[in-house]
Amino acid sequence: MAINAHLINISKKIGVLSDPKNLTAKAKGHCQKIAATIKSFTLLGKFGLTVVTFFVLLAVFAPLITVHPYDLPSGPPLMAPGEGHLLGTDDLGIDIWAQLCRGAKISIIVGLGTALLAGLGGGLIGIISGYVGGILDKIIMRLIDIMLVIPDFPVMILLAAFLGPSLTNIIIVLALFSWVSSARIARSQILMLKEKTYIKSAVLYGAGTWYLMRKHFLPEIFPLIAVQMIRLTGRAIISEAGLSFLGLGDPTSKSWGLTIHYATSFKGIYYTDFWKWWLFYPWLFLMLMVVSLAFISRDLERIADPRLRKK
Amino acid sequence: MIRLAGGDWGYPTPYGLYPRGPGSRKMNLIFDSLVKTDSSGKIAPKLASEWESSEDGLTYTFKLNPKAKWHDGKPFTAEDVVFTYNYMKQYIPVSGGCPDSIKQVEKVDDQTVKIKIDEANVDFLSNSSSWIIIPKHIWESVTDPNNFTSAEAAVGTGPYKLVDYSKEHGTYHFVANPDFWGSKPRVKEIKFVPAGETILAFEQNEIDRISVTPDILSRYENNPEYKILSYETSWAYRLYFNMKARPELAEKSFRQAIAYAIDRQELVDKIERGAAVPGSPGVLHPNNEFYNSKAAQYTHNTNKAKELMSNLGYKDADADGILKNNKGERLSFRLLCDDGSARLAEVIKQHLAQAGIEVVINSVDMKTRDARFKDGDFELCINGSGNGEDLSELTTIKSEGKATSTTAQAIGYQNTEVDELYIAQQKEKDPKKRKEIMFKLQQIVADDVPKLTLYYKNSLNVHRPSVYDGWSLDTYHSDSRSNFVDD
Amino acid sequence: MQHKSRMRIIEYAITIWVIITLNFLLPRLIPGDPFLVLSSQEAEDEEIILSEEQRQYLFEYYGLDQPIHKQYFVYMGELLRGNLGFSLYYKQPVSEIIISRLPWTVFMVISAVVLSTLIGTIIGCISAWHREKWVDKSLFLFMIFFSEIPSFLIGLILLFVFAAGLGLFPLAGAVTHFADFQSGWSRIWDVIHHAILPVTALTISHLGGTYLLGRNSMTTVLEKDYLRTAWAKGLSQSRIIFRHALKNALLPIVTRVFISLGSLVGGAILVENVFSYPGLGTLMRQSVRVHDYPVIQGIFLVVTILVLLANFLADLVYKKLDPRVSS
Repeated sequence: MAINAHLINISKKIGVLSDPKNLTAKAKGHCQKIAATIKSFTLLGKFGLTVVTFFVLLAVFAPLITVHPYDLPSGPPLMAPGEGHLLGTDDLGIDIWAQLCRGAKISIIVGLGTALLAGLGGGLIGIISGYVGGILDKIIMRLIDIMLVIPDFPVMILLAAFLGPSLTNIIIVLALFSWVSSARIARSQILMLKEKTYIKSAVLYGAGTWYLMRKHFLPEIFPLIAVQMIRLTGRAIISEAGLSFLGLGDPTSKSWGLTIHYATSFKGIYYTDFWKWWLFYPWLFLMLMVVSLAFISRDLERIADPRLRKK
Repeated sequence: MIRLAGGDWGYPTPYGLYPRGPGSRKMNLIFDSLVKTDSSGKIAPKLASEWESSEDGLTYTFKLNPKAKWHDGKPFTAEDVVFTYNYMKQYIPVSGGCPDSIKQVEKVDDQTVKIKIDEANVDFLSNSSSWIIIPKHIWESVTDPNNFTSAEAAVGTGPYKLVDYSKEHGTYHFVANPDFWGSKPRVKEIKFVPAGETILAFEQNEIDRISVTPDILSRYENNPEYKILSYETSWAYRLYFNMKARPELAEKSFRQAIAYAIDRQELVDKIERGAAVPGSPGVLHPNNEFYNSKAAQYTHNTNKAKELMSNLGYKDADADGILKNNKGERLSFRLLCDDGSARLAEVIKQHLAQAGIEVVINSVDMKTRDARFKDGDFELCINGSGNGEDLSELTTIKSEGKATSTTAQAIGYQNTEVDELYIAQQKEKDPKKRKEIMFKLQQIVADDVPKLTLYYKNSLNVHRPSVYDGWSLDTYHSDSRSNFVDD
Repeated sequence: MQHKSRMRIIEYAITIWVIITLNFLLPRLIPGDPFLVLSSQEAEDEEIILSEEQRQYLFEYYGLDQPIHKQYFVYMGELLRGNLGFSLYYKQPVSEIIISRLPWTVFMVISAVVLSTLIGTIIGCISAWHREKWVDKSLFLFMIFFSEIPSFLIGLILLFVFAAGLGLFPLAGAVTHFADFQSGWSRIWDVIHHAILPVTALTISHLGGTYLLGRNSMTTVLEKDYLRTAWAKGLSQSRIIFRHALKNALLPIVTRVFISLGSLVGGAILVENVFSYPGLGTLMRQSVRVHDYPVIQGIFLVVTILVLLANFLADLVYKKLDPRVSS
């Protein structure tokens, strides 16, 4: 994450910074616009959108499309994919397909939870920082600088161990390390908007803070934050999987990372065929989800950035 | 030469090793104690060739083995024993320390020491079988033993000398001591090599013996190149009920209902893939010499559990599958476990759910779990341990200063009869009578179920008889001294 | 300008102080203490329960019985003297432990950086050269796809397919121990053989970034006037690529190399745990498990300083290479 922001930093230096003027019109999300956006997606973006939609449907309709419960044994342990169990069972005899559907839900909760918390929280911090300015802005900027250089994953390991494994804690930990990019975006937008003549004249005519926020700042900033949030969702899902893989996740959550963790910690799994379903399918789901989200955010960033769009 | 799977367990001295079995077993290749407990539980000579206790059981006199010599050629004398006692009082070792009950160690002559203890205890000799004697001429100038890791630190009287140790790679290299006081070691050299994947290392001839799981046993069955030895161990997972945190648990029949509700055989089948022995509520393993097969067993019976619960007034009025007390509160418990036993907790949760008891799993890392276990900060807790057979943890008696002696206190269990019986068996010199007391003790414990033994792990080991076939049938630990030498 | 660089140094100092303090506090906030051993997970490594007396003794010995602010000052004082402390578990100076582990992590990360940069740039150049043709398009799809998969997922599948399934590579570790190597070369081969999968996993997940950078800057450069001139002069293709285009694409690529070091650390921790590679990542996981505060702090500090250093170098190199910034 630190790197992402750094790249923004670098690209700023190189001069590839986006000009968000055109963005407002684009992102005033009405149905048509959304359709148009999707149409302008690349092949990869469309692929990503399909996969993510698939997972969302999976998560929502999990109880309807799974025959077996996700937390109770429904067959003999470690059964290979076949009759009754589409993707086989794990060591406790729990249906893998049911677990993976449940995992889709967990992933989406973690991803969206983190993205909302970090995106909105970060955005708010950025807005305050940029709008109020002065010493507060300086402090926040320093804080952001520090957050940027702290290697996030080691601290996440520590924090996760400290807070104890639960889904909420994981979301909090992830959000703590993801708000910076949104804050930076929001802050730079505010700073730029403050200089615009129409804002200045609005202020002259006595527009209050809330009016400005509602009418001018938020509509400009929100789309950018929203694009950022898709990125954060993907990152959060990866990080949760990483923490779960290390055994620091919520052991009862049935997330994909956790299923992988249990599979890899099964003694002697390398010498059996069990991994061909127990490990492979959660791996596949996780990979598809993460990659798809990345494709979507890549396309959205491209659309949000007029300079890139021109090319 | 034998090669075994290594791993870093610390420098094999009483101060340098990590508090885990493999470290202390490596230390025991180098160092000796005065006496040992043999496989049948009898006390046998080691550095002490004979001993006698006074009539009141408060004084023991040990005659030392005149053949014993330190690895550097210096003679082993009574001075070393006296020194070790005083030194270990000042600097407490991680492992191999002297029994707390010792009050005084006195030199009678070069080959004789007299040890005074504060209270008669039939287990004194077996307790002192873990006490390691260190050389005075080396350690007397050492003021920071925890940091003392030079080559001399590993000078002992034992059958093996340490020639090389690498912390980074977790390797140990032991060579037989030609001047060993006992019988000649059967293996000249033992190397502990790091093997991330022991099975692969074994198949590629990098190591000579491994521990395996049932799923891969078929690779070695019916093959004359390999030999499989199976052991039952006393290492067990146990479930603790905190009666202080949840007064409901103080009700005996409530705990019994839980015992009925948990299918211990299924735990064995699922979690250990069959390689375990279902736990006996009397705590002791069925192959323990004191095991009482008549103690209550609580064979899995969900209906019986439900019946007991309903006798206690728990009803599932709204038929949502969870029992409620008379105030209508759902019967729900938090089950504390570590990441290694989370899987086990999950199955227990399923079993208890069938009996109408809801379980919320609270999995934390091992250290946190240990701390919360000690402080009684849990409702139900799973603990995996090789030390749980000692019934003293269910008494309110402080024994040998172990941290688990607080367990009874932590879970709020107190039964004066258990305390009395425990003390009585400790003092009982007649083995037959002692056994009777132990039988009674188990019966009470099984009836009370303050903790429920879930299962005892088995250990499956595979070796190549062509390389070495002298593996002990009494211990499953491949690094145990008894595999390589008869003392 | 001077004021600015002074500010920069103060910034770094504040950052390091915050990190050190965080570093001191965090491990101590985790409940549980390092000397309480009540359980084990395997019958093979059963616990040795320390008595209360022993625990007290060890607490005093390591100064953990002191009030926290005192421990903090002692820690800071020792740090200033370059002392990272003494491991509670490994019973060895932390600096020694880290020095024995660090080379493996550095070796892995550097190899991955070098490889991903080289391969990424080359493929990027090829792509740019064939811009908008099918070669470029398929390369683009392929690279983007792989670059988005987190390294530990790549590692997992490599481990299972190539090491466990096909048996082509070792499953764990970094070297074969006590092996009798015929020559220095076979020893080197042994190290490489162990490193191939983990390094490949890290490389693949970082290929995409350099690829895109290489492709973009190459494209930009190829459109520049002087290259058109070179083209018109009839210079050979390879000469144009290597003499002119690559030289100009170098700046963003070099900057990225340093910056990607930081993000590689997170990936490396996980990848090491996938392959049980004896670097800082596996050490970190183990230390968190046993609550070995000094080691956790040591690793964290070293990693952070390395990342800071990489950032600093990136700044420096950037200034050196780009005349617009230094003027």
